Amino acid sequence: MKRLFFLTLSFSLFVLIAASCSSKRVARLETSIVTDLSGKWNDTDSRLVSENMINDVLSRPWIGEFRASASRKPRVIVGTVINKSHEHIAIQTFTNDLERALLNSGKVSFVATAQERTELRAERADQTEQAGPAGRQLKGEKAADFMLKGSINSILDELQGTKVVFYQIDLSLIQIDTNEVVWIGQKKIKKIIDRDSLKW
Amino acid sequence: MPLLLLIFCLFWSFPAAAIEFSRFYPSLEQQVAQKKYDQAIRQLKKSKSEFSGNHQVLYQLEMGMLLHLAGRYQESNRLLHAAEDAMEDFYTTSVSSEITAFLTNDLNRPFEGEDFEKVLVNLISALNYSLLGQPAEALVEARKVDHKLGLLEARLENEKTKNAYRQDAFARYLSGMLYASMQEWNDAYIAYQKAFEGYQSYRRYYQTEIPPNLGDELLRLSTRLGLKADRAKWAKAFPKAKGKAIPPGYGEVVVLNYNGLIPIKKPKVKEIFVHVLGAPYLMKISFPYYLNRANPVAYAQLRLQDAKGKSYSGQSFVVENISAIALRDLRDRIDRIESRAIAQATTKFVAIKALEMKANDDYGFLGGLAVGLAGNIWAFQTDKIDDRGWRFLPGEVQMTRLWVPPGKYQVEVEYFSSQGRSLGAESLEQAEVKPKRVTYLKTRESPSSGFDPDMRLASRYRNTPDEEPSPISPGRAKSEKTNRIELSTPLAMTLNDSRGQAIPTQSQGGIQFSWIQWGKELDYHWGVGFLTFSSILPNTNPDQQLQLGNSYFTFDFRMDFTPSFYGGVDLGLGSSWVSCASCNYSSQGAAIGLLVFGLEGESLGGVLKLGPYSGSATAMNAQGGMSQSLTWSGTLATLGVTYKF
Repeated sequence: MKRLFFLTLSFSLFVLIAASCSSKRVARLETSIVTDLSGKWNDTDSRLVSENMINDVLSRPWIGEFRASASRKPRVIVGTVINKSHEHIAIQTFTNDLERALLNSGKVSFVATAQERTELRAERADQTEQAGPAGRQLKGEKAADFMLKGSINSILDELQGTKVVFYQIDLSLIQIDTNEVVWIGQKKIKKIIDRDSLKW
Repeated sequence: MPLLLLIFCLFWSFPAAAIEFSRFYPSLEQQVAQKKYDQAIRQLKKSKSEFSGNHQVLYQLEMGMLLHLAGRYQESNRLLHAAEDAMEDFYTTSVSSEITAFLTNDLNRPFEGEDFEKVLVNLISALNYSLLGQPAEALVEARKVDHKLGLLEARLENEKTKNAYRQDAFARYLSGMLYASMQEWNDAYIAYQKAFEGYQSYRRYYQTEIPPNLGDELLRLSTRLGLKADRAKWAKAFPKAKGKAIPPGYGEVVVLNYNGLIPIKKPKVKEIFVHVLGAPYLMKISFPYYLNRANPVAYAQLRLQDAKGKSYSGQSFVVENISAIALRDLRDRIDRIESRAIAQATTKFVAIKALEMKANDDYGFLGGLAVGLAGNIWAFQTDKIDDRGWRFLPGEVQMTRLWVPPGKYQVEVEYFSSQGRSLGAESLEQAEVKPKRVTYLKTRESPSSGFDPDMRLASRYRNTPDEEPSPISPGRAKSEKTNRIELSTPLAMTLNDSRGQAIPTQSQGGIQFSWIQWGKELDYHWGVGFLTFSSILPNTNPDQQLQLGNSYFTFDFRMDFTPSFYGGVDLGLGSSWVSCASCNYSSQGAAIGLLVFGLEGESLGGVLKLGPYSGSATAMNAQGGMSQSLTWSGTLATLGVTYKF
């Protein structure tokens, strides 16, 4: 009888453990919460970069100077941000953040990127053909005054299970007509990743 | 009892007979050679469960390479990235798998890849990105190659080991090409310079010549960057190179040729003497060595033809001799592998000897013999080398580069042997060349690409094992019936009376004989046997010394778990008896049920049984008057050998 009791007990324990292992849990997080799992570039890094860059770019005198000379809002285009790091980084997440913040500030207007322009032109050409010349006006595009370019570099140092990753994100705003650099933004991120040398 | 537990644990730690790589690969390699990549991918996918656990990274690498060959570059990258992450996690050593590996063999360690395999993950991934037309991402992989090799060098300096594979010249050469395609001339120049250094050491260690067009690239870039002194240096280093400027508006076609097969690891047995408790023993230990496989292709000729019939041609050159890197890598590490294998074998050997002596002391000569025998079977069964390796890597990567005017081209590749004899030609997909852009193509030489159609793969790659290709078959060959006889002897038993109280015993002994027929088609097997054993109870008066015995006819059932590990039950009914010098007995019924676990090799094997038994008998004194009924029960453990015929 006693044995039967133990057998039943251990079986139900097993079922309980097995059941708790296989279940899936989901919880929602604030996007501002830092979640570092693998040590790789993640959403937190992207957010830190865009916040830093936005604060910086909007507080600098280039906007005012341009408005004073051209008496209109500067038009900006996002160029290439080259990834020169050791990781595959989704660069668009923070350039999009940056674009949105600049646009919403009302101080700057944006020109669609080269790829988007090609798509738009095709669409315009198609609409003109279908709806007649009255429908859409061709060759009404506005040129950009500034281009946002940059690069992400990383330095990796590693010894016996400890890895130090250093990212440096450089963005610069270049006046297209004059090749003048009007703003340089920089953000540095440093992380240390430790690995245990033993586990059971 | 602790001894019994230990033996039991050892049996459980026996590898659930790992996938037989030597049986599994030939058919897949043949499909790869015939360019049936999708078929190979499907077959590998079916075998995914065989690669679970310790071989997971190997699966990811093989699948990644097959997907690369099939032109499914994004999927390939997903797997290669996963493999890379898993390999990095192996920095954390798992103590449990190390212990298991030490008691069995290195196949019970997670496959983490040789150093060159760890680096090639990134290189193949870089090629994936290149072929996808994403040079920036490809360069990320190239940077990882540099970082890994830097780490490797630091580690090896720590371990004071020499190693030839310190830099990957091809990764740097490819970086140069990628930077140049992005018009990053400075970076391209630096990368090509490093490639030049790399290929100098490649020439020394792997007999790989410096790519002939590296000189042209260096001359062109030093001119472009206005580095006059450097230009003079390169003109001296590459007297044949002209460094002619690329006509403006031209685009480049790059064809990657994968030739041959990578060497495979095979076991080699060495005999060495070890000293255990002062006595020398001869021990056989298996080590891996690389079996090189011949690569019939010396170079390839690339022909591009545009719509008007104008054609351009170029010859391929070796950029990475993976076979040579693999061979050299193993040669550099063989001392470490050997000392580990010796340590492993000695540990096993000493453990068996110690158990044997303990069993000899506790259970007498037979017990010692049984333990020793079981131990030796186990040692023999587990003496396997770690023959895992990334086998779908090509033996060699060659490259052809051609600058041509923009347009659409028919692409043809013709292969040549080292004597300049044509081995046949094949057409690749049409290439579209855009100005100042690089179009990457890749191909793998193969018998089906138009040459040697009747030649079998085995004869083509001279040293390929000539086994018939076979899919993974976890079961034993089921074409014939086999017979098995088992001979076991009790290792330990406990005895309780009818009230459940332990009866002390003075000595115990017995024997079980079984015959089992291993069926033809079924994984279930059955047999019959006879088991008898007895216990002598201690008594100072020899006349009253009581002997309790049980004899059973057993019905035996077995089931295969893996090709060399099986289990089952022995159920028995029979009679019990009680005897002493001065008494008669009448027998009564008895029953037994044993759980069985067994291992088997080619013909010999070991078997462990464990289970409860019961019996009752009536003893009468010599005068026939007094009678005493006895009932007992207990647990029995036996250990034995099996022989298959």
